[in-house]
Amino acid sequence: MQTRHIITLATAVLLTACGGGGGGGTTTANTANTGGSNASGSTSGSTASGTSSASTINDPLFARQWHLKNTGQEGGTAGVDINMQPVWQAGLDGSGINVAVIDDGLDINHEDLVLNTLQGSSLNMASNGKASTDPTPVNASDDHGTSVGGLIAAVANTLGGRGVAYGAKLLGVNLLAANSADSNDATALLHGKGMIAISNNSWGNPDSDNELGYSGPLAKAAIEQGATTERGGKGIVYLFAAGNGATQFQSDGSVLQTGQRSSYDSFNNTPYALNIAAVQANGTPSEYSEPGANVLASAPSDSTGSTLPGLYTTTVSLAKLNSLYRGQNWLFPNYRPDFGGTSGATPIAAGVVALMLQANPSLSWRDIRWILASTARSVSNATETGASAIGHGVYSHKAGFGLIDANAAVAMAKIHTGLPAMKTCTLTLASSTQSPDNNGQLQLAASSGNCTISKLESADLSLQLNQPGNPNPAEQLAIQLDSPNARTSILATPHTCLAKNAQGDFLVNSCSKTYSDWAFHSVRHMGENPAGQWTLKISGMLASDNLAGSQLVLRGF
Amino acid sequence: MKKFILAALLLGLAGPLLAAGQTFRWLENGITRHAIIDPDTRASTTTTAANGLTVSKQDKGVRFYRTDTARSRQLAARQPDLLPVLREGKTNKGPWLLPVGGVVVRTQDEAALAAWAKQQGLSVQASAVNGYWLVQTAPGEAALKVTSQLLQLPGIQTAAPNWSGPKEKR
Repeated sequence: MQTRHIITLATAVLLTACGGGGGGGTTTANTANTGGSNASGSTSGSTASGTSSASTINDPLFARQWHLKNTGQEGGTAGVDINMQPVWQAGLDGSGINVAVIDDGLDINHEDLVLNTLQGSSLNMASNGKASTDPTPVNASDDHGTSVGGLIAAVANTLGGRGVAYGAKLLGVNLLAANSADSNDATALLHGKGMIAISNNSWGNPDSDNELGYSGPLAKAAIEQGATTERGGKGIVYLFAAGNGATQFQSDGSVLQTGQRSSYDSFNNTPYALNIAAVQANGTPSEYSEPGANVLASAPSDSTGSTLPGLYTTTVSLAKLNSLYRGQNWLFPNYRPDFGGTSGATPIAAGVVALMLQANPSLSWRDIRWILASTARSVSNATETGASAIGHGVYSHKAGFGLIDANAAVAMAKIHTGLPAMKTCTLTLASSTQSPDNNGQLQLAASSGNCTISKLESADLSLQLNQPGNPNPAEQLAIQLDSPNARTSILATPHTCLAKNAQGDFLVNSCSKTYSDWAFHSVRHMGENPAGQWTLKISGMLASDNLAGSQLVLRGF
Repeated sequence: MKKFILAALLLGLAGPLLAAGQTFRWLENGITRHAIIDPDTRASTTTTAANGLTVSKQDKGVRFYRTDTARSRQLAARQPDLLPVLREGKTNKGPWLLPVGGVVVRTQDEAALAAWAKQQGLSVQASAVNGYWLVQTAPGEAALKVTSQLLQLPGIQTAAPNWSGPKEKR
């Protein structure tokens, strides 16, 4: 274990659960952050065994962790957080729950993680000379997973900040530091089976080209196996980041709206993925966060190039030291102030799931998904909205069912008796080749028939759409699915693909992939009664395009 | 490793089963998928230098090298760590997939799979997922060839190269 210098703020930040003590604590934190004057002060001698708890918060960076308690620090909006403290006050901290961090690594000996890592249980998939159970990064650029892990379960002590579930335990799998292969993906997604309840996946298909992504058959089967057979059939809860590709920076700093959607990402379209979007500190969706009918909910994260704050969390030792943050040098090794993306939102959600499972270990992954949707809060300026049958009444393709509310989710978890057994109904929308009308539109309907599902959990639409003579496949297509309740899943919108030039600018590029074999996943209709007619609408087709087949799989109870 | 090099040499001498620019097909859960073999590019996931070739692009741990169809055939035999690049979609410029070794198989007739593999001198191992197998092959053209052969076996539901494809942290 490396010896790490421990630099604390000039005075310990003491916050009581009741009063918050935000004023004094915040001032202290601000003092430390402006010029780092306190960093030059003495080390306090605090050790990893220094105590902190729900009622006495001694983590020096906690006052900065607006996602846990937003007092308006650094320009955010007070109250835009995951409503954590009542949960901690109730004595929940994620104890007994194990979480897999599948990423580029995990510093299992980090001073603020070591007590919360399952030593000997991680997996090193890279050929880097480290032990097979040590995913600690060897490259400073592989600091992503350590930051993710800290958001989930950084220890409550006198070091750094704290995780959402500061009593949970982590294991790491450095899939993204190894040679990529379908078999490796599957190994990673099932590593720790028998031990873990949650799998955090802050990665996915490339966000930058707008092409339809690929995931291999083994990876998809691994997720299905984990979700349907592990934990005695209650399943591993697989959380995936929704994607950051809705905007891209050009070389001149301007922001390009790309049209990228989470529904173009294959891993996010697995029926078992809980896809998490990002909301920034003022309570509005982060611009970069990809919309999609497969987006379940949102959690706090950073913004696109604005003055709103990022996420404070752990990092590999010197990765961010002396980097500029908000005009000043960041002087705290082992921590970073600027983590973000849907990568940051997802582990925050994972931490909440850990608390829910501690409150009620009998919850299945379906129960978790249902409760998060039911208890999420409205998000300001959320786009692509429509009425929902669950939760606060509005679904947004940008923000899902809303911002995760840990207190409400845990409260519901405690009394939730479990969803009934899942039923599946398959509707055939196209069994023979279908061509568009003269306007390039195709509309197909199918009745739910004898389907006995009364409350829907998800809808999965497969398409075999051929575009043989189309020079710009996929780009002009708008694809939507309307439920019998006249609610719409926006599955695809017209968009271009992108290619990056040598200067770092994103240029319009023709898309190469088509919907010749594609599956869309939608949680948009959760809670609806699916009885009646479902309608698939495709527009923008050429006369030479055709739909060879399409099925809709409804899952619910 | 020696066995893999020998297999690659034999493949090279026999001539490529699959020409650059050709469409390669595989099966996933009963659905045929396809990609185009990029005629101008080979790739490597190792640090071995590619003699006489320059890196045209690097995508994290993958180096892409410009070549041509004739050279690509030579490289298949002589440098097995330089892999063919397959492109998803309608053109040979789509998202890349690399056959890094092994074929993922799911079958209703595991006995037929085992018998065939034994006949071919190939090892079949259980994968991390119940009901899925990994037929061990050398990377590159060897994996593509075995995939194509497996598609002819009875009961095959999935026969897909153990693809490496692009992924990103978010």
